[in-house]
Amino acid sequence: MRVLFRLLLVALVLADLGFVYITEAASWIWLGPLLLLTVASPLLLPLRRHLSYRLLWNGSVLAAFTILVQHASRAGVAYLLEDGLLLAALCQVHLLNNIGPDQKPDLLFFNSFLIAVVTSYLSLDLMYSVLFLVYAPLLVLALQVYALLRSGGEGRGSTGRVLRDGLVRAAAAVGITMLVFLYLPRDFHRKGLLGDRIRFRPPAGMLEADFTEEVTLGRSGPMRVSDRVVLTVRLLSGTPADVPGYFRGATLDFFDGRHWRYARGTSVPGDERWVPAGDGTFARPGHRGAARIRVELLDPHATRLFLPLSAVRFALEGGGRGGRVAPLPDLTVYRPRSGLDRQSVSYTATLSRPGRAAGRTRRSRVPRRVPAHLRNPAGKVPPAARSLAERIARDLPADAPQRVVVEAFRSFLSRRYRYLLPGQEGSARDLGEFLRGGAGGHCEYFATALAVLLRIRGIPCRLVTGYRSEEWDAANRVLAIRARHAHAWVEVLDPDAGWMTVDPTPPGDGAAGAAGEGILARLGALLNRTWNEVTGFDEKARRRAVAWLAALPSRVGAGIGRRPWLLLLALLPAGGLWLRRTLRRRRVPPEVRAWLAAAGSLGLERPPGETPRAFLARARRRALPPKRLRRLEETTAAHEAARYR
Amino acid sequence: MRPPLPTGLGVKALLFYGVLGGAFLAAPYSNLYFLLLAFLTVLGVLGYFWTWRNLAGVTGRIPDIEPHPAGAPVPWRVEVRAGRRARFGLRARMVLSGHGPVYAAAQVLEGSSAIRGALPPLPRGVYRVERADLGSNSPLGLFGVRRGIPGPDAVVVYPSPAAAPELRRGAAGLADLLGNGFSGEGFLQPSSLREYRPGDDPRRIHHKASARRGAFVIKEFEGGAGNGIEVVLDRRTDPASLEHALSLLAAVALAAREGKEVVELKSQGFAGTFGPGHRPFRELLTFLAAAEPLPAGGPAPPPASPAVPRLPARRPAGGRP
Amino acid sequence: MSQTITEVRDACGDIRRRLLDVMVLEEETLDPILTALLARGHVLIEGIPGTGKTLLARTLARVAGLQFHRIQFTNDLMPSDIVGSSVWRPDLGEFRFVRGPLFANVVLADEINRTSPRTLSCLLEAMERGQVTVEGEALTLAEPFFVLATRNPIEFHGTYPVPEAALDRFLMRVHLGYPGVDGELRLYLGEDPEAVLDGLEPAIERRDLLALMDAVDTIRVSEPVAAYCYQVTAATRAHESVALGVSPRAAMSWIRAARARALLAGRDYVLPDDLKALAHPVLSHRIFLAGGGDAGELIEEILASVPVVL
Repeated sequence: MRVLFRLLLVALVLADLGFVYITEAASWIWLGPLLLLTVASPLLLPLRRHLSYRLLWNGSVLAAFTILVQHASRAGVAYLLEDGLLLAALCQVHLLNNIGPDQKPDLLFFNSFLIAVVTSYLSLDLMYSVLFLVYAPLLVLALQVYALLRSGGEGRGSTGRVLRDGLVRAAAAVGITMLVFLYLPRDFHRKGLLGDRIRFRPPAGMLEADFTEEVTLGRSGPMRVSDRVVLTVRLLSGTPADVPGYFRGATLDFFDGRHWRYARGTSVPGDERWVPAGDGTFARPGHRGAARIRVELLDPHATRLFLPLSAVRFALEGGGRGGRVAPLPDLTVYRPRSGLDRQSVSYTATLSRPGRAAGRTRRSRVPRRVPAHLRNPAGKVPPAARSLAERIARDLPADAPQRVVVEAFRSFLSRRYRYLLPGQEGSARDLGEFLRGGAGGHCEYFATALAVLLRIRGIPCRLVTGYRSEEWDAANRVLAIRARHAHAWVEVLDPDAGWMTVDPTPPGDGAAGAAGEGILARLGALLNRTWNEVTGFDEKARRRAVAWLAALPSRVGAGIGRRPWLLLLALLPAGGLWLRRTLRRRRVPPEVRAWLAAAGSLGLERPPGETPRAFLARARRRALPPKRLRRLEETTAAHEAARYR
Repeated sequence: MRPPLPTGLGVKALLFYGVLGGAFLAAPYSNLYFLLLAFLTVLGVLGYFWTWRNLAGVTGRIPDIEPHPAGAPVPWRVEVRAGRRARFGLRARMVLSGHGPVYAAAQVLEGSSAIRGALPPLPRGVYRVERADLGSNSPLGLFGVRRGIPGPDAVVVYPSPAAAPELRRGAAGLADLLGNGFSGEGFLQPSSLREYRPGDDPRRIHHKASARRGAFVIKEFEGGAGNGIEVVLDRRTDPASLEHALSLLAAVALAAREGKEVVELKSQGFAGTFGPGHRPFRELLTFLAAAEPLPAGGPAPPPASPAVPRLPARRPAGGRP
Repeated sequence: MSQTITEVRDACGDIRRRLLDVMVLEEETLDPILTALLARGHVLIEGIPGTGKTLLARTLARVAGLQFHRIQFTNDLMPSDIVGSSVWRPDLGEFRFVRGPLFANVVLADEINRTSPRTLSCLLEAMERGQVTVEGEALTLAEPFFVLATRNPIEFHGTYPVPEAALDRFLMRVHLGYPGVDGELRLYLGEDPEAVLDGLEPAIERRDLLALMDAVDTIRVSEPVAAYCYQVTAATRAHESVALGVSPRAAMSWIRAARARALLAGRDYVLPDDLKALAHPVLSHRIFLAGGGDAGELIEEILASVPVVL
């Protein structure tokens, strides 16, 4: 039992280190030794007896503590939570290695829960849910074994039972927690007593993956990935295939080597402008729509209306009362900040079929002359860019059409470069480093690299920021777009087709939806979606879940009515269990079973050493229902005749 | 059964929960924080309920504990009826006056079973059992619950008989032990005669028969120490002598119990015959456990024949080495 | 068989009734004694004097139509005193063996702890084998041969302890205590038992009794009952405070006694109830506790905790 408890504590601390790992608050330089010390703790524990060993520990922890405090004070409050987390992990390993069998590990339990809590603020990753599902049973089991150890006593052969019991209890606790989570009405927008003052915003040094109107490369620091839903797109007509996953927010055409910006008012060739059609409706002339969508912009602070490139018409719901909007020449729509009472905005949009909107009918509109800033790389271009452009172009025929050249550059980047979020190990600090291939980067690097390379080749292009999501909920025909779906890509001005979307970022990055095929990938996507439901849970979702649960019996009934074999399928495991039990009971003679049933129906306690006759005699002395008593008499006689005669 | 109360860990957990809850209320709403807090709440509520349920329906009884010698661990057990469900971490407690609580625990129990424990080696005395109960902190250790159970009135720890190794040799040893005036052979029955073998005790030579036969004839005795033992204990003595006397008496009582013999003891305020068909040895041992020295001017023990051995012996420790 | 069984029940009921006419006895005491008689076992009665041990033996012999002898054991009793000895018969001109008091159907061996081990072992041999050896000649004892021995623990001057191995020869050990209040009052108010005894007619003939004893072997012991017997036996061996648990021979004696009890109750099969009812008289003197003392409580504990095989 003691060994089991030690193992549970080690596992608990390992889970804590897992929590710390997913927040990316600590590098391997910290985590590696901690991990080693955790795993080796059972071996190291005997050393506890030596004072020097304890001094070494305490000294090391003190030193690490000093380093962390120094770091926090230098890096600012931004790192307070993360450093605190690391410190907690350090304490955890320290406790694990210094708590003897006769000392109380209470602090270890609390600290581990604290780590779980702090981690929940720093990471919304799917891994968190996995870790928590590992952590919860470990905590319950550890508490249970601890309680048993504290009470003392012998435990020969009880380990298996305790484990089984603990797992059942943990499952019950997690299940009830989920029900509480689903059912309990609460204020999802509660500010908190201290309001924004203690809000754990992504610190200044930390990027939150979200839409930005401008792009600056080379900012470092960890990226906070949020699952906050920014947009929901409901398909009113058409199929999900008609809706491109790219929702544009802003276009950026000036690049100075580090910074992308958009000069409002600069003429943009190749696009018809949005024309107000009254009552909050805007349209581009001459296009017929293929699909209609309704977009709900949930972020009250959003300054853009996000639309796909193929949108040909959009109408603000409520006739534009949701606020003024200003369509820009680059087909994006600006939504000025005004007042505090901003609310979520909904608008419907009509989309043309991809490829149709930029159809050949509009060839005449594609300008022959393109402004120089779209064609030429301005500012400092890293030397690596030019050599790279030449190297890629070397393999292309001289008269290759622009479309082929663009695809060659795109696929080169997409295939050869690593996708890494900012702040991850090995991510680039500037464009040159990224292009030289030594470091990975995120979508902004990919998009910038492609734009710079294309402009070196004289192909007009611009950077677009917005959201990319493939997170279709097939049942509700709703596309969810979250903060972490923020993305940057490139639009290339095709001489024939106008602006075309080109995305050099490799698929499978964090911003992509369910990438890949196969059951595993789909399962992963499902888990991701489920977990996102949890992290992005709100009042609406709660109502939906409660309603779904309330309607579950009737739906199950209806489903079985339609497909009776489903019931059979569902009953199969139950049937298997029943069969097993029956087979097991078959070994018990029927007379014994009958007698046990009759004896059990009386509600009398039956000491093990009591014979059937003695039990009957005792039952007769009690005032019991005569019918049951008679049955007991009969079964006793039958049992005796069958078993003892 | 009283309602469960938080344990030390439980109190700390409540404080921790309060801090986390306060932080939750202070900070803006977060789904995961809520989830974690809900988990903690559910664990607390379930822990309370589970702890209560772990002991609900359990009945127990501590059977009488046999008197045990001082300085040796005293085994004791609790008979528990746990019902069909498995119970975890049941701990029986017995509060002994003058010693404090002692515990015995079982990690998993099912049906009718027994929890076995051992009292630590105790000095001589009669320890009243102030309270006996059955408790459990399981499964989570956050709450504890107890219920009283019937137990023995007292734990009797009689003087350690280790001071009298002579008794291992049987009747002869007893005679040596009690020294003055005791003749174990006086009660032995000669069963037969046989030829002398080297090493025989010369006192056992049957002189008449030897004279008749012209060779040594030895009396054989049977029955061993199957006789009653009568002793007087005079407690008007110093504590050390009394301890020695009590220890001897404990040895005598144990030897008598082993051999199904009878002991008669007379002392100030206490007299009786113990053994099969008489008062149980337990009473004698209880007296030995509780006996206190009397002042020199105290009453004399009840009268007895001068042949009856007296303790403590007049000569300090007699001829004992 | 069922015919016989019913007869047995009636006959036993008759014996019991007549016995109870003469003396006041508790069922728990009488049952084991009758059971032992049927099972061809012997009984050791322990108890204080004056509770009617002798009367019980005499009545039993009378009711069962058997010959009765009483032997008072003293420390000078010699084996020849109980077995008998060859006596010179001048009229016949030869030694004739004169049978001792052991040659009877019911022998009351009073206060066996008073006699020397030699005489006791002679008695024990007779009990075990049903025969005695006199001058190299084996003499068969009466059939049936039933010894009711008493051990009086009150006096200890001039007694010998009965060795533990000897106790094993007794199928049962029964404690005879004071009768209950009602019983004792009936004793005071009722007729003089001696007078009743004189007028008592046998309830069963010797031949029928022997047939009954043979019938004991035909009583069935089912597998669950045997399993239960084994489990209790094993529990006594495994118990920590036991120095020597129930031996296989003791377990077989237990089963045999249970058979006899089933026959007494008019059943041709043994119930776990029979085993439980006889556990104390049959097993308590065959279990030796590590610290000495009586195994009664231990048997109670084991019977309560070992589940009855259903």
